[in-house]
Parts: sequence; C-alpha cells; structure tokens
Amino acid sequence: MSARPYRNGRTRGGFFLALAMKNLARHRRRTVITAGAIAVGVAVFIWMFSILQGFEAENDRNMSRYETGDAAIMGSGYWDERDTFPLDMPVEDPEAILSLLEAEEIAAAPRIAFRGDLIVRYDPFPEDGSLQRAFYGIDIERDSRVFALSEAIEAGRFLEPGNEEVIIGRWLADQLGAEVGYPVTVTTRTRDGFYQIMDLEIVGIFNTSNPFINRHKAYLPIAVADEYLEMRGAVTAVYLSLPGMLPADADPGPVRELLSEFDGIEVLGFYRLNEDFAEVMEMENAGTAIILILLGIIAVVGISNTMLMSVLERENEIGMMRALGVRDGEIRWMFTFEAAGIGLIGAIVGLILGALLVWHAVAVGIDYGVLMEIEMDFRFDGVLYGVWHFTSMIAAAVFAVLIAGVVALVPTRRMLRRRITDSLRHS
Amino acid sequence: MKHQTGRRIVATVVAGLAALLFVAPAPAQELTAEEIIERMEENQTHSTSIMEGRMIITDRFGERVSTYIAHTEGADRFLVEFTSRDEEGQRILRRDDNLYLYYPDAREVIRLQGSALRDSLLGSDISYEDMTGGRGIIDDYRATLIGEEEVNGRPTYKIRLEARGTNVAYPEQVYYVDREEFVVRKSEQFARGGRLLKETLILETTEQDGYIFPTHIEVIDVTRGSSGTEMIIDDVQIGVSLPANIFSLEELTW
Repeated sequence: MSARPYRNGRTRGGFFLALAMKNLARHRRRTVITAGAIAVGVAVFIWMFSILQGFEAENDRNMSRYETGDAAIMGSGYWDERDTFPLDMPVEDPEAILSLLEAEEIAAAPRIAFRGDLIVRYDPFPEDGSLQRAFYGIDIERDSRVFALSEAIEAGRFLEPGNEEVIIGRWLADQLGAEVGYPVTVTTRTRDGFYQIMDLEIVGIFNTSNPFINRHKAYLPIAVADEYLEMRGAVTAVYLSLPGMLPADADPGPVRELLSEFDGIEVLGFYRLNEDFAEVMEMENAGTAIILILLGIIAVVGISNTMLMSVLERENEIGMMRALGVRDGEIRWMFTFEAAGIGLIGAIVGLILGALLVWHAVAVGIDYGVLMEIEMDFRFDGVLYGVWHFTSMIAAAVFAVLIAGVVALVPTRRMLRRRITDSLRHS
Repeated sequence: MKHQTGRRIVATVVAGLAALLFVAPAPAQELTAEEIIERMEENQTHSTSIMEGRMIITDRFGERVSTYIAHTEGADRFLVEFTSRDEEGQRILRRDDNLYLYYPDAREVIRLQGSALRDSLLGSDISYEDMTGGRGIIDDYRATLIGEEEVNGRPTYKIRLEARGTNVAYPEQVYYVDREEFVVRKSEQFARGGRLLKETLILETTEQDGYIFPTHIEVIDVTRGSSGTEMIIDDVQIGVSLPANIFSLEELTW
C-alpha cells in the first residue's frame, strides 16, 4: 500500500485499517457473535492443553517419585523381562555401584522386586484370601533419597531396617480389611527358584498419589528380602534421582559413563522406564490432536461463514468503494483487517477466559474420583491438575487472529471478481 | 524347563499321567530309600491310557467342579481336555518336556514357560509347574529313609527327599510310600525355610489290570488354609490304542 497521506493525515493503509476497525463497531452484533465463538475456541483449547500437559507431568512425577526414579541400573535384559519379576538377572554388586554414585553425589536406592502371593487369614482379617502382588525390598535409608514413599504413610509407621514387616497401600488395605498390626504370609520363590514363605506384620499403610502403587505393591526391608530370597547381596535394580526440572529431562548419560567398567548391567533413562505409558500417551495425544483439529475446523468454518455473510451483505458497499476508485487490494486488506480484528478481540477474550480456566485447573483441578474405581495404568490419583503453558496460550491466540484474517480472503476475492455495476445493482 | 519331579502324584492324575502301579508280589525288606523310589517310579510307567475324571476346587467362594478326559502315553506325554461347561474345549498338552495350552475362544496355542508355569490351574492348588514332572526323582533329590508310618491305615515308608541342586521348586519333600503296593499314600512339600507348603493325600485307589491307580487325591495348600483341590478319576482304560497324532500341536487346535 502507498505511504503517502490519504485523508486526515493518514496513509491509505492507515485509513483502511481505521475503516476496518470502525466497521467492527458498526456491525457490533456480528462482531460480538464471531469474536465470542473464537473466544470460546481459544479458551477451550488453552484449557484442554493445560489439563493434558498437567496429566502427563503428573504421571511422570508419580512414576519417578514412586516407581522408576529418574533412571535405573539393572541387569542386562532385566527390563525386557520385568513383567515376570525375574531374580536371576540381578545387579550383582550394588554396593560397588552405590559407592561410586555416592562419591559423585548422585542419589541412588537399591531395590529387590519380586512377585508373591499375599495370604491373609480369617481373624484378624474378615476372611481368608490371597492376592498376587509385587513386593519390593527397599533400603530404608537410601530409598527416601530417590522415592517419596516414606512421606505417604497414612497409618502406622514406615519400615525399620531388618524387621520382618511390610507396608501396603490404602486401597489394598481396604480391600483386605487390613489394619496396622495384622499378620500376613507371603509365598514366593527364592533366587534359585525354591518356594519360600515369609510371615510379616503390617506396620504401615501408605496412600500415595500413585494409585498403581496403592493397589499393587507392598514393601519390606531389603535385608529381609535378601535373606528370604537368598539374593546373596544382589538387587534387581538401583534407582537414581538425577538433576532436572522434570523426570523426562534427566540425563542418564554421565551415569552410563561412570559405570562403563561394570559388566552385565545397563543404565535405563526415564523414557525407557516409562515406555509403556509413553505408548499410551502417544495414542492419547493422537486422539487429543484429532479433537483439537476438529475444534479448529469448527472455529474456521464458523468464522468463514460469518465473514462470508458479512462480505456478501456488503456487496453494494464494495461496489460503491470500487466505483469511487478504491483499489481491489485495499478492499481486500480492509476486510482482512476487519476479520483479524474480530479474531483479535476473540483471542484476547479467549486468553482471559482460558487463563481463568487454567487457574482453576491448576489450583483446584478436576476430580475424576469416580474413574479411579476403574483399574487403569495411568498414574494419577483422581484429581487432574493443569499446568501453565504460556507458549500454547500465545500460539492459540495468534492462530485465531491469523485464521480469522485468512478466511476473510475467500469471500472478498469472490466479490472482487464481480463487475462493479453488478455489485451496485445488488442493492 | 525345570523338572518339578516332587509333585508327580498331582501331575500324574491331573494330566493323565496316572501312576499305573502294579501290586508288588511281596513287601520289600531291607530296601534303601533309592530302591523304594525306583520301584515306585517303575510302577508309574505304562504304555497308554484314557481317563475321565473330575477336579473339585474349594475356595472362599465355594466349590467348583471341572471335568476332563486325559490321554496319556508313557511318562511324559499327555493331553487333557476339559469337558465341563465353563472350561469346555480348553486343552493342555505336554510333549517334549514342554507344556502348551489351547483356548478355544481365542483359538490360540500358548507355550507355558518361565514364571507362567507357576500360575494356578483353573484356580486350584495345582500349578502348571506341578504337571511338568517326569521320572527321575533320584536325579533331582537325595533320598533318605527316615522311618515308617501308618497313613490311612496303610503301612508306609517315610522318605525324605532333599534337592540336589536348584532346578526344582521344592527344596525338601517327604514321601510316604506304601510298603506293599509301592504307591505314594501321602506327600509333603516344604518351602526353603522348612515350612510345610503343600500336602497331597491319596484317599482312594483302585486296581485294574494288575495296576493300582490313585482315584481320589486331595491337594491342600497349607499356607492358604481354607482352599483345597480334590481330583477324582471316574474311569480308566489302560493299554488302549490312541490316534497317531493326538500329542501333536496340530491336533491340539482341532
């Protein structure tokens, strides 16, 4: 557009921009409706994105804090067989590894994972029964440097070294009718495959924000597990806490380098340890992307339709402007500015609405408590919290403005193809 | 695959590897523990058989009955097909020391291995691992004659079996072998710490074609208390002709 003064000291571009803004006020109802639709679209997108990001972050946090740490050292091949809880692929000399890690001030916790039958009997339990569960022998002192289990004790106390005792989750305790002080029996296999029986006392009931832990896992002192399972000092994994804002950002590379002299072990990063959930998340994200695309299409169609109506009903006006010598390009810009203006209003309102929704999601969350009755692999405890994700908020607003401007081009172009006389006759 | 020879009585009946025990002509005198076990094992081997039986599983939910037909050949080949309504068409095949499951709904054959062998058979006190035992107790266990005891009114040798290595599930077992018939009347399986884990009782036997069959067996998982599994054989045919491919994987899916 030309930069020379056009009217009231404005450039031609400035004049048409001002005219476009004036049109927004002239067609107030249309502006409000269209901007409102855009605002709702932007706000919903921002809110959904926040919740999904929060969900993923919460899952990562719960995995890291209770199950995997940020990285883990395991016997070669153990991870691929983890579902069977093998004891014959252990880390043979965890103390040597722990010494090296501790010298580098890397928090590490050894654990012995095994599968067993948790057997309870009538009196004190309400009835006889047994459940297959995963058990973990944990190093009481070191475990809390990596995991948050010790902070989640709801009844009784945390484990004490060497005692033949166990702690179980609140969900499991409720299912069994268990209370602190009740005796249980665990049958399992030793490292060599022999049957083994352990009599343990429930000394604590934990309630973590990870429902998977609350349901499926029980913990006992590592010395007890070592003795009964005849591990001869070996452990099934050494878990690590690494620096990083989020578990997924933690880099296991330096640990791999540090332990490169050790044979028969591998260092697994958080991505690998979390691969089952990552696959689920990928599917979930794909589904969400489809929803967001559909939302975008609806918004685009809505804006297009409004702009189409707006342009069509002003055909006479367009004809008049062209008859007065206004160039087609200037008319095109004017309508684009007008549509982008509607998009801008919608985006600003959408940002405000979205921010309010995100604030609520961050502060209060959404209670999915009912869903928690259903067995799920997701590691969140029923309340989904959002996170502030400013990049996505800005991106949504910019996208709304751009798309509103772009979709106005089509009907405007159509009008500009008509002859001026036909446009003037339209009235 | 590990040989869980210690529980072969269970395997024998459930899987159709019934111990075809002939009646010994006279009580053995001055036999060593190894000799008693060997005679017991010799009695278990026969050519072919077809058996129909029931498995009664008792747990906290009550009692369930599963019926089956078992075809056996020698000591380590069998095909069990369940005929009761809930499990109809499910099959278990043992051949070449491997165990295969067939589920008709899924039309899928699964080879059981590793920790999957430790799973329970239809929720009973018997694991699939219990069905993988064959001959060769003496190869896996050191046998010691520790006395004589009466079991259900029958005089028996009491033999302690201690694992020679780590390829068996039970570090220690005690067998009570009938002094006259050389059939196990009772067995006890112990965990690593010496605690009693399971008890198997032969409640009834029957004689057919010179063989003595256990026809009523009770397996008790001592750690669980209220549960128990009974196996009853209703009909046995010995030395029958079996279809040529009955123990093949192809046949398993038909």
